[in-house]
Amino acid sequence: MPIEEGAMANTNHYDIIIIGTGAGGGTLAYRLAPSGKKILLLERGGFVPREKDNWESRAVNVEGKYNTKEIWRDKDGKELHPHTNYYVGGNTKFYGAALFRLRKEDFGEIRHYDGVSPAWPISYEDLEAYYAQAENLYHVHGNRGEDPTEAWASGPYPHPAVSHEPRIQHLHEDFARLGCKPFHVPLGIMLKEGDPRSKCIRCATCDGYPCLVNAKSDAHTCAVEPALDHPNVTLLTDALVSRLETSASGREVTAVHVKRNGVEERYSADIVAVSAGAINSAALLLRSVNEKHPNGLRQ
Amino acid sequence: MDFGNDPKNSALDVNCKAHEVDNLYVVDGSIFVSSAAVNPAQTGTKAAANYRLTLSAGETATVRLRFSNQGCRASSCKTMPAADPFTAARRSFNTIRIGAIWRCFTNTSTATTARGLAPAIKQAGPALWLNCYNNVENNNETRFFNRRHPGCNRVAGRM
Repeated sequence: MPIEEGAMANTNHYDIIIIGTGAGGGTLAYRLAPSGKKILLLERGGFVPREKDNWESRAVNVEGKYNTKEIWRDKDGKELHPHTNYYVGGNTKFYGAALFRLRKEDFGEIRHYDGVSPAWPISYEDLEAYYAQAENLYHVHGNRGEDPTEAWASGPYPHPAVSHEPRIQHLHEDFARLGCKPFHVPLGIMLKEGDPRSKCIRCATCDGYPCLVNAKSDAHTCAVEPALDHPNVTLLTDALVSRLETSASGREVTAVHVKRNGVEERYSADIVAVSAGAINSAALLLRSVNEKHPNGLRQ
Repeated sequence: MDFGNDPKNSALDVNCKAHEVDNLYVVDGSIFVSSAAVNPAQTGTKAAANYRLTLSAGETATVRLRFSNQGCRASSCKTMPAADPFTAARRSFNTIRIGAIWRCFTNTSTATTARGLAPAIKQAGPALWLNCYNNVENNNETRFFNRRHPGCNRVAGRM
């Protein structure tokens, strides 16, 4: 049967399009995948290659092998080299795996020397249950109650704190003796101390380096891969979203313009979630100007 | 791109949907209304070692820090008053010399506000990191500095 033009167009229509596969987009995909909805994940980068350089400090820190070569400009037009990485999993492929909850006070108004940090429209209590879920998903290791500034939690960390290196343990004890309250940083790594089958081998790298053995709890490993096990989830890599198009009324995103391997493509969805990171999400909405949104989709 | 109830000062509603577009959500760090007290944000995680060490190629040095509530009290030391380099820098927009520890990890050698020092504390190591946390609770700016006093090998720090 000949394929009608309409049917062709429909193959590019999804229930949900998620732009970005990092902490926000990857986790969202994980959560929505079991719904059975037709989901498209768009990632501007590819997979971090698994190679020995993953753990080479020269390649990672000196040569910046995995950093974007993009140059941004500050408000005065001065060049800025962003320390950011475009890959499946986003910057979580390179983070130090520290997974703190915000403090309860962070959600309220806080006065500083320089001004007032405004209150959030939601409270810590609104998020607590989700923090607990996220800590499970990202295998967070920690000891609840050690950190005197942490907010209440509905349960313990899913895994015990990562033991200190001997020198750090020494410092820990010295500080405690002085009356300080040192605590173990909550870490998202797949470490089972004393278990020879532990995925994490406690190598000498971590913060700033991609994990060669996929034992760091990054959005790619913990969220995107399990999401892709669902047949209703599709991932396109090397797919940079250039702009969002709205209906004439401006009330609805009707198309997502993508540049994939140099070719312009067009996708649409009932719902579009932008998870491109703090800078790039804003940039995408700003460059999606049209008649109804002369300042971009931001307003 | 904050989320909030008022379209006048936020782009997104409390469910992170664009106020003005019915099928557009933003789900990432850009919705944050303010930065947090914890890594990798700024509040309460400030530290700078106002301490400069010049090393020639191949040379190594050990920096010993001592944390104290007061300035240096060693009798051999003409005590420098405990100063707050951040406040001074904010007022004068002079640059702060920051310590060897930070320098090791970044190519940036100057900072004009405490804001720029967030990565420093993250990278400076658990000792500083942990210490700073002890003062987060009071919600005042946690101040920390250390300074090598002339004629005195002691490094004083204050939080």
